[in-house]
Amino acid sequence: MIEAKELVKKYGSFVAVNHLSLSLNTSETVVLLGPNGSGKSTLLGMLSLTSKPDEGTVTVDGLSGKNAKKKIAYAPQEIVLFEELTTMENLLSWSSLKGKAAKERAEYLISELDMENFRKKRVDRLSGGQRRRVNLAVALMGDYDYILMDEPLAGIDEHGGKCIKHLLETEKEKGRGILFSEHNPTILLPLMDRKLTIDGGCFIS
Amino acid sequence: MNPFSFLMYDIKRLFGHGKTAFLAMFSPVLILLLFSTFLAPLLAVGEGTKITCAFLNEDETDSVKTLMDLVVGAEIDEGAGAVYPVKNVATGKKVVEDGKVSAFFYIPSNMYEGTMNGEMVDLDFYYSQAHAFEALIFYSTVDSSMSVFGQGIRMVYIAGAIALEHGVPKEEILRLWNEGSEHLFQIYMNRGKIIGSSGIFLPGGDYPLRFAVAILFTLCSYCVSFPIIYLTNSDVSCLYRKRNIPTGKLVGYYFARLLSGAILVLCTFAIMYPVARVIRNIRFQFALSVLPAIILTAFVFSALGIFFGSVFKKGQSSLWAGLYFGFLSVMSVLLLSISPGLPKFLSFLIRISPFRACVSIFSNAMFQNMTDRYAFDMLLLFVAFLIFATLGFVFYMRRGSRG
Repeated sequence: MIEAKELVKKYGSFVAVNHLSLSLNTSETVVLLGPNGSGKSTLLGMLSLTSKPDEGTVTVDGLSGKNAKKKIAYAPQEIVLFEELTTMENLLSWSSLKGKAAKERAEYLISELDMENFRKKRVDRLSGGQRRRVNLAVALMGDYDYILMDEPLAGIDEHGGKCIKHLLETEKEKGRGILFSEHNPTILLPLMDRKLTIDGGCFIS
Repeated sequence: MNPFSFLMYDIKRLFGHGKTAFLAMFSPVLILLLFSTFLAPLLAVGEGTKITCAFLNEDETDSVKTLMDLVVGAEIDEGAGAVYPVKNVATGKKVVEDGKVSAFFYIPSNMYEGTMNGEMVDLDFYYSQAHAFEALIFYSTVDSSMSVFGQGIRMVYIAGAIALEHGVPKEEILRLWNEGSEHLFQIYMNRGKIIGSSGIFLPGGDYPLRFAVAILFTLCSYCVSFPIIYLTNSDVSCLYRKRNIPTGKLVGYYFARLLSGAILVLCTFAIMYPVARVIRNIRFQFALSVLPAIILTAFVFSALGIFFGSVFKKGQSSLWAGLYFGFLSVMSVLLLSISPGLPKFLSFLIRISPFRACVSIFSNAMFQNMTDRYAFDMLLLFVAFLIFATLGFVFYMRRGSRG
């Protein structure tokens, strides 16, 4: 279980996240809703352990630090890829898996997210939606228990959305906990177990 | 992912910016070619263009004659100059004015005697403005030779007088004199070791043009590290921080970047070799002899690139810092060469800089291979590599993994 207690994050005098606590269990899918600037990305950053809270703690199955990080797959809102490499090369070079396991996982993700026709294309030559899919696939190139995604459907067409939905269904069946933020999560609604709405750095529902 | 894949992917990334890589590697060639074209009459040694000089030696002393034969003979043998003896000063001046030669050099009859007595001896040198640079080169050659010769002969002369006072037989003194003179000429011929009035000459200090070429080579090869700075900063300040990168993987990325950066710099060296060959007819075996130094230099510049790329948060700051560091380093090497009287601490700092070592290695590689200087420069570069690679590693890991 990912457990966050009393998280606070400030940017100067602006409080982006204000004493938030939440938990995410395995096999559970939680959607984080809220308007722009409500603190969703900041909260996901802290939950994924890529940014440190000013106050509060985050533990993953009782662990913290490096051991906790290993259990989380995180797809940030920004495209974080090696632009000069191809789709396949990106999957392999970011992967925490090794050798045959990495290749098998990469092939699986390429198939699931329908990236076959641009697997050998350089990422900087892909469309926005294609890059978004690669961005998500790279995050899933590991052995983890929880998946955190910041607006995974942004810029994705309907077909791409369905691919992502199918992939996440499979991941959920494998017992992985999923938390993602989204403005319009219609496609992913069938997966949802719980919904949290955030505004002004606080949960409002 | 195995270490080889790490390296291959990073090479692909570094060279992947087609235009950047092209500019980084080929711009040095362009600069050097422009440089050599601008100074073609001087650089195209042995290609038919020669420094022409009129020469009048009124000092009939054997030692002076021998020295002049060596100095002038060496230039002629190299194809660098053509020397025309003239009968008197007036003729010498006239051939300069008529544009028949670049310069006229006059050694008065009292040169040897004056040097022996520790007096200042004036050597007259005339040149036309149109051939000022060629004249400068010829002058610097003869001037440095005379300086060495004068001091050397005087030392041998004093040593002979002391030996005579202590009862050493004249035959023995003459034998030592001959050996000493011979040795002196040999030292002269090994130009990099010239001892002038200001102490040991700096690398290439007595040959400004050749020194300038070595500096240009160093600067160009350093400029190749800018893509390394740019890409490293983008990785550690942006990409890695937004994903959970395990420490082991980050270490792999670091060493891959160090190696691929060194390969990029080495590629530039390889491209610059033909240019160096045009400027100075360097034999391939000779270039190979300094290959270890070139490789070490490539690693130093790669480590420097990673260091600057990691130490600053913003890419622009990293690039500016790298630019200023390179510019100041090269300027400091120039300063050291033209101002021997620098404060000791400053002089020490410049002497231990990897840039000076690199300039020294290039001038060494292009003009004279000297083992002791080479070994010292190698040691300096190795220490610089250890320092910058360690600092770069610390900052890279800190910035790349910081949440």
